[in-house]
Amino acid sequence: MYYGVNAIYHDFNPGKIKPTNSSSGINPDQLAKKYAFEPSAYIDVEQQITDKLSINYGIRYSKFYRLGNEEINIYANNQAVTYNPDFDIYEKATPIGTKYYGKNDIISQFGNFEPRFSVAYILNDNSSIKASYNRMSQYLHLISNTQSPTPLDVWAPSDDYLKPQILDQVALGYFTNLNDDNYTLEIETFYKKLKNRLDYIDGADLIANDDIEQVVLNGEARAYGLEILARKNNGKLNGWVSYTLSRSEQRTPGRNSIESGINNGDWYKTGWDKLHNISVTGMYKLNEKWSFSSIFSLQSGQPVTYPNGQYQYQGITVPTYGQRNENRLPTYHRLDISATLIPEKNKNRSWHGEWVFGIYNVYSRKNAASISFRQNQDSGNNEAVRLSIFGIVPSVTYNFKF
Amino acid sequence: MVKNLLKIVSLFIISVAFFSCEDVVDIDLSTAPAKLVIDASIKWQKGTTGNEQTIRLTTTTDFYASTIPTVSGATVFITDGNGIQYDFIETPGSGNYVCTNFNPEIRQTYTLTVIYDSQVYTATESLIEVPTIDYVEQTENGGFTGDQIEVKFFYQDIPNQDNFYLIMFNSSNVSLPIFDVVNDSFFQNNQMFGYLANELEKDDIILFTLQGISESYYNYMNILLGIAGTNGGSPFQTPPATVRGNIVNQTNTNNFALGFFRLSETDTISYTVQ
Repeated sequence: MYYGVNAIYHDFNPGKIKPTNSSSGINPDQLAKKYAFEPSAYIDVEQQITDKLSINYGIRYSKFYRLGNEEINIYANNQAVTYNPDFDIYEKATPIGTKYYGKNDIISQFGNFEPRFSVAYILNDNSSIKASYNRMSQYLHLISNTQSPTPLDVWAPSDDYLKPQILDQVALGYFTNLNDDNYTLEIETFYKKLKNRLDYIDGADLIANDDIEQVVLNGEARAYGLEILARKNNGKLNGWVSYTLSRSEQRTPGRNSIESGINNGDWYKTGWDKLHNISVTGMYKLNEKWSFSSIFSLQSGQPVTYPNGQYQYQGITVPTYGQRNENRLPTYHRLDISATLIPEKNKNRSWHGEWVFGIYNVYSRKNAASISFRQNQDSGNNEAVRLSIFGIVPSVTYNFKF
Repeated sequence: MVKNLLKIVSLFIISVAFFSCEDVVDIDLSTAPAKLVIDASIKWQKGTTGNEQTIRLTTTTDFYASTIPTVSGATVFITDGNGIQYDFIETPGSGNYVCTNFNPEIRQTYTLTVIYDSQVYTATESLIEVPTIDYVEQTENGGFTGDQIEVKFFYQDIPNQDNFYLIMFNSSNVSLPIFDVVNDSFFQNNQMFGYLANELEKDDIILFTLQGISESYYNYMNILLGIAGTNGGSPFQTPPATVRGNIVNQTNTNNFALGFFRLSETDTISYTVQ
């Protein structure tokens, strides 16, 4: 049996707006600092029922206190985002007032039980099955600003408008060893359901936004899939092959029957959806001195939203879009190889060093980090632009331990 | 179960510098059915009558197309708060609908009606005032590198109210006009300016236009400019979505039109770079 307690104090400083020089017309501003306290306690029990059956269960209770000092906006009907039925769009609500909370005053609080349960059953000497369920709550929200992988993500603590995320997850697995443990096969399937996943409204502005609640709505997300891992454990050549078939989706329906919701309230693929994900790793040990390894990976391209038309307004060209994340970036694949040299003089001393010679992206595939669309400044025509990071990259690494 | 303490230090020598690159690629795109686009910007230049106004009707088209289809045969008129109707008549075949007797009035409410293909589209806005452009200042230490010619156009924020402005530069050295929208939330009651530092050279002529706009038009243009034209691909861009304006299809709400109906008082100044 295990148990414990834990507490975290969060201090968010989202940044400042300041004039770059004294003649600037900008009035300086500090984006509101945010404070929160998150205590939790847990207990976990492992129990061997029979020779073949073991179970593990536990529960965690977590609390989250959003604390002052901070001035909190108050909105009509407690809605920070309003729906405009005429244009079928969501808009920022205008606060009807503010309420000031002093240092360490509780602005809002949440408490959640997080149960977990798993069972393992040994079928025979070589195989076993395992099933599990767990619930987790997360009080900090990560809101990605854009679809391209830039570091401009926003973390926001839960409050009355941004509800804590609750994740329920079930998994079922089968594990077997074949051919005198020479090979291992693992098959696992999972289903996850996430409540209160934040989704930004169309046209949301997330940079230096003090009122993030005005541009996001609480939705839900789900993910499910099948993972297969085959491993060769022994011999000069070993390695593994893994394949995951999965889906990750989210939706944000309207809050009442009039609202259409984000993306018409339909399920759509999240930015993390990877339908296929294949990885092959091989290692070959030639002798005590030299060993070689290679990794090949292939993934479905990231879901993105491409334009489905254009129009002209006030002399500028504007793209139109359909449903969110209906398109995908080109398939991502890459091969890396490396050779490791362990010098013989290592043997009789405490200093162990090794050289690793590697080549990243051997066939120099230009995997797209993003595809953007723009109007060519010279021709005035629209074009698609691929941004790719890293072509082929050779490297030399020296590792040592003592 | 404490194992030997291992300290692993890794040295990385990357023999070839990594790089990122941008290239133009062919991406097949599907095209949605064409939608009506209503470009209805009524601009009343200070010191003029503002009688002549134009509204442009076009449709959406293939993303890669180089020409934009125009819309002919529509009925277009504006009604003001006193019930007076101003008709906009098409210059045949051009998609441009022109009115010659429009009567602009600050803070007056106007309603636009467009009837096309047996659908009735309407929008309502009021005409927003603008301050005068006070003066122009040129310095030699502007731009990203700090050594470029920079021209600033100064105006005084309208005091003690939330104001929104559209600024536009037409310069002889760029083919497309440069737009920006600003609000006075960081500048309340201060002297504000628009500035241009875009590889300017002596004798370049810059036309600077300042327009008073509503908050909803400010929000609209802010999103629109984020996804429009040459801005595609900025890491700060908002999540892409079709930007809907204030025009409502009264016949069938789902078949909405793009574009916006707004009315602005404007001030313009022309400046020749010294």
